[in-house]
Amino acid sequence: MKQWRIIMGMPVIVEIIDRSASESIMGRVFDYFTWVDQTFSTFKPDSEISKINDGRVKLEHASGEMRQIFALAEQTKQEANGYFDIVTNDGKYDPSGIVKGWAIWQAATMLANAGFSNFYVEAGGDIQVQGSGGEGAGWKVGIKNPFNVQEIVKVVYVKNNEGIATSGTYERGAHIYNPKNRRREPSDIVSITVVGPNIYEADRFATAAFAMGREGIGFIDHLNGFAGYAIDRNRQATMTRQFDYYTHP
Amino acid sequence: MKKTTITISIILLALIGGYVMYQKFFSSPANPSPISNTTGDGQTSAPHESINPGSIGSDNNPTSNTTGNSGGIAQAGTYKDGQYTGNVANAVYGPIQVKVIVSQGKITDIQMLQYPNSPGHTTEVSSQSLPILKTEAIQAQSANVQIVSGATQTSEGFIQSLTSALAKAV
Repeated sequence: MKQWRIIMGMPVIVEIIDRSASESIMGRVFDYFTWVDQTFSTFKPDSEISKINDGRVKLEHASGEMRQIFALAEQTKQEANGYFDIVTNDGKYDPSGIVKGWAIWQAATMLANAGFSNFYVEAGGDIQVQGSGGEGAGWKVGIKNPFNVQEIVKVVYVKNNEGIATSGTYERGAHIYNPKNRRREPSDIVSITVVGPNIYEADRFATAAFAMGREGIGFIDHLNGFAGYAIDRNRQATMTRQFDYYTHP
Repeated sequence: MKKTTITISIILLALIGGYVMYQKFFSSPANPSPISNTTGDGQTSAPHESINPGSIGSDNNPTSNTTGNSGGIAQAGTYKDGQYTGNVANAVYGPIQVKVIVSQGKITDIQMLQYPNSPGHTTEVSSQSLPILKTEAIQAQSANVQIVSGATQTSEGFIQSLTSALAKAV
């Protein structure tokens, strides 16, 4: 059973291979994403994050989930050497860089706890898989071509219930400068895909690695349990030493 | 944090070193992307054996790791033997300059002539190897897949968020 909705401004897709899949479990997953959107969307004036941002709610009085996200964001900032921050230029909090992966991971955990063993949950190109998609072990995942989103340029076999996330910009001319040294060329990396122990881990480090530009793929290479595939504007891909493992069924 | 800084520094060295070599050996208008499909780790070396950066700072040791390692990027015989000093490149932590030593057509050592002044890097960096990662030209795949991973197309806010994060990472 496969269903999708547009939530958080992006397609959220759930496919459950197990025969016991039902409308009701699908509904629970989508309801959960809707709750996440209502709580963490900075575009919704009455979301909890908006209330924190305009001072109506103090962070110390925020919900447990909100405080958890803030703690996870702080941890990620430390681990990514500052290349991750949920505080925006105007001093507001925007936790969207961490919420998506976390929400996918929570939704997948919900399905596993409900007894399902073969499924995936995807939101906006970031994926948590469980079990098998029905063709051999694991799931067969394509990496989208940043220069032609109708195409895939790499096939990744995700066999151990990992998460896979891609960060990048497919918009021409959208350059990110590294402010640590403004004389450097803008980053020429257009996308970086990260496979990690789960989608929360993969997503947050994909985001940080993309912000690092050229250095990002090396950062992933040095993380235990992660693999990465970065594509630059000259259509050259660079992969971590662990990535090869994921290219075989 | 210091550990992470060191790790980033190491990665940076690898990349700058690789870039310098790329500039040195491959830049040619007639053949803009010659490193397609080459294997960084080489066919013969184990994945975790890659070029040793040599010692950092005043204690350069050109004899470090001069044997048995193809060093990746190019196949045997591609380089002319000699010592090549790269341009000073501005890296995240400051200026960096490397010297590449080629022997029998292979890169046998990369020495750091200039290295950013980030504290505490010296001994730990010199004790670790620099990975050179495999690259390939991307090609459309005809295989059927079950799921597709790609960047979310809502990139404007994403860019804003990243840029602001970067502004604080200075």
